Amino acid sequence: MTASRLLRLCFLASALLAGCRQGGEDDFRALHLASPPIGGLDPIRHGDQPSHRLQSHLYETLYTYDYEDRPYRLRPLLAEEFPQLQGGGRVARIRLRRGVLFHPDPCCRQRPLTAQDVVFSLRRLLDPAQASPAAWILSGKVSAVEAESDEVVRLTLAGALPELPHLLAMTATAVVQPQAVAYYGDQFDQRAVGTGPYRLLEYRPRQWLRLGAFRQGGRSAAAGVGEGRAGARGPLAEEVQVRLFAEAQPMWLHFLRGDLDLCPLPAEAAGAALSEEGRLRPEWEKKGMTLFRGSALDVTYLVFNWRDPRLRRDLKLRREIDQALDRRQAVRLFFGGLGEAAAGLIPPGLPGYRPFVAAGAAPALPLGAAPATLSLDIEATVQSRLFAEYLARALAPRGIALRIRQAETGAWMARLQRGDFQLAPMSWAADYPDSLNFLQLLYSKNAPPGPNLGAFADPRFDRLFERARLLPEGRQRQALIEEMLQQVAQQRPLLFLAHRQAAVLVQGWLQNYQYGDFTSALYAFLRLDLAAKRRLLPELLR
Amino acid sequence: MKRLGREIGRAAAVLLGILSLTFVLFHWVGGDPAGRVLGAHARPELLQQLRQAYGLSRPLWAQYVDFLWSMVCFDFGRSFAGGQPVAALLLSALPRTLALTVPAFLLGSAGGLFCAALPLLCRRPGLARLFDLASAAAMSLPLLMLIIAAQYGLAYRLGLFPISGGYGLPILLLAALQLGYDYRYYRGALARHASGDYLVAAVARGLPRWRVVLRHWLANGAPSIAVRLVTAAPFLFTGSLLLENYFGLRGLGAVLVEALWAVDWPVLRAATWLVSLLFVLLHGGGDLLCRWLDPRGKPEEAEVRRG
Repeated sequence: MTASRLLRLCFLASALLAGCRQGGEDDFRALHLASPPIGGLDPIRHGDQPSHRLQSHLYETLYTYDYEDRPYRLRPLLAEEFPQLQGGGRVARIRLRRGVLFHPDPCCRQRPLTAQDVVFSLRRLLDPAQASPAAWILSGKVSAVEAESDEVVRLTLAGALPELPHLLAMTATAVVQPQAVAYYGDQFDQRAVGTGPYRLLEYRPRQWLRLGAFRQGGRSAAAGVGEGRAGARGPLAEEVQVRLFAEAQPMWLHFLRGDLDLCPLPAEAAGAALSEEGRLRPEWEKKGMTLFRGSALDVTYLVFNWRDPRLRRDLKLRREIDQALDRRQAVRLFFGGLGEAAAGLIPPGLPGYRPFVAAGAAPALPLGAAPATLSLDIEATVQSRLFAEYLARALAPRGIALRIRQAETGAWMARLQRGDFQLAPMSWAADYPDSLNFLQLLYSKNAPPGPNLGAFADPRFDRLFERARLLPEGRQRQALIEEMLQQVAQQRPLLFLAHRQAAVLVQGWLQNYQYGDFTSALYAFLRLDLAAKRRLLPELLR
Repeated sequence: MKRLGREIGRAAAVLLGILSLTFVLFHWVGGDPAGRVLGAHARPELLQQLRQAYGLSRPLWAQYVDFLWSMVCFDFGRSFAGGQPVAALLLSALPRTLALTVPAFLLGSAGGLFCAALPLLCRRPGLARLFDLASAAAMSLPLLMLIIAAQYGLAYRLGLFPISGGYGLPILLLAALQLGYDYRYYRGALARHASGDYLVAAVARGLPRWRVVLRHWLANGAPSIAVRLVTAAPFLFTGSLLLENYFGLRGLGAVLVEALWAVDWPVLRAATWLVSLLFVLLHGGGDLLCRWLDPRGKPEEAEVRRG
């Protein structure tokens, strides 16, 4: 048997084992996308971003963020309008859009969404028996959820809650059909009966999903999906096939072969795909690919334990550590260049953001803080260890020694929450696009188990935060935010390192893509240019 | 009968030890499952409610007794992370794992046996040296490197296999990895019998070569082969996280690692219990099989021989 016959035999055998389907015209017309593995499809059951992103195509929330507007603009989705506050801001009434249909499903007769469905979904999220990782969104903030009529939902609030529309835009608050929950029981996590722009055709857990467009008469399934510059209403592609990838390499190789229409650029491939200036290399552009970069609305930082008297009082020491950090180098080393040095708490894209300005080419001179030995608590991962050693080397010339303590994630977090640490690296990704969502990291009432891990406490900061929280977007609120940021810059209870960025490569035949951390139902906005695909695909396969 | 009772007692002690160790480890270093499920934002009262719902607020001894009893009854409960029944979760991932590991196991074992037998049969030391070198290379190459290189070269560049979603390439890789170890083991085990006088006698009697190999040589090496197969068999059920992740197969390996990250105690304890049970049962079965294949190993017969 010749070598080529042997190879052909191998190929045939592997194709048989793979059970490959021959892609037809429908397959060619479908969107082919990738996602990290998801926990499941039940909106309340999982707290991870990939799950929520996928679920947002199947289920809808009362509010959503506009696909195109930046900074992000909130708008009603299943709701007709923003909440009407009554009773001194303690009661929120939300009127729903009429005639929004649930997906057809064998579990029950297709019917329109009512306020009772919203009540069921929100109570389910709040139910302690459900143990939802997303219960925090409304837990302790909303004390009762009732239906006034088929079209009006009434929320009784535990206190002032100006961020309510933001909270009701989070996928965990999406509306599910009660009959489907009862019918599918344990299997509901693998089914989806919502009102989203796509309905579930097939789901192979941990492997792939197939979604089909869902349009309803008179109204796009996503209540305005595709309006504006994106073109026609409703989902633009009839079918979407989503493969779930746990590793970056297979996803990247599929993209290079044209099997995927878009792909987040893996850090390992950034060097090959991007030039020194961070642009897509010309040879990739020739293949029709486009690079999209976007801020991930997050911040990585070092937190000082404010309960430690030495750390709290010694501003010189905190500034010394701050000056020792070469943020741009850290971004190159630890994020593959996909990030931006952070000057402050607020990431780009939100009011209050300031770009980082380097002091100069030469490293800043030591400030002469008294020598100190500090402990740095990290979780036991390779990345954390590398960062800790990098930081220790940077601080050593300034007379600051670091004692690195590492622990498994659960034990590490428990130690931080107990306050048994001095310095710790941490990151925060926005729950919703609002500067106060970052400033809450320093609000004293958010001390552990809340997100203010260093237990920073300053009455002036608290007063400013509480005032800003109750104000609508505007100049007055912005002034308060600026005042808080100034205070943070002076006191340095946190040392900011970087704002991560996402880089996404898009094939030449995919239109309408726009990067967005808070985009719901992204797939509904994507359009395929089939002529371009016919032209470009053979080039990739060659 | 007395011996069987002793064997069962020993197996029960091993299982109890494993379960106790699992319980201690989980409570000592496992972290707070309620915190993992509800996330960093969770309110303390919700965390407390969930700990109570999971039975984690009860005295440790009560939790321990319940744990042992539920394992004995094969009542694995529900996953903390997804809420679905643990048995269903494991069973749904099992076919993908077995579809990967069983063919690789058979291929690797058969290949290892063949490669070990061939140089001894042909009496070609050069061939043995070549196989030694190849097996050393297969054993020293990290699986991750093999996967990355094969996926890029054989699947993406040459297009011989699907990049992901197919079983062909991962089976070959797993079999190649196993083949190195199996070859070494079988070579050592079979070499002892290769110089036996009974083989010379069989050849002198004019028996066909294949019959000498199968009927005399391999039959004498059968207990060693059985030991190897039996000790490797439980690993068929644990899967291979790397292969599953890189080839999009997502079987038991991925389920177990996800459970480990999520401190999903019901999934972890069920998996530990089932795998240790398999180990003990298969090792016990392996002992019986070896005694059946080679009755000289039976103590009472050894007594007779000595007598």
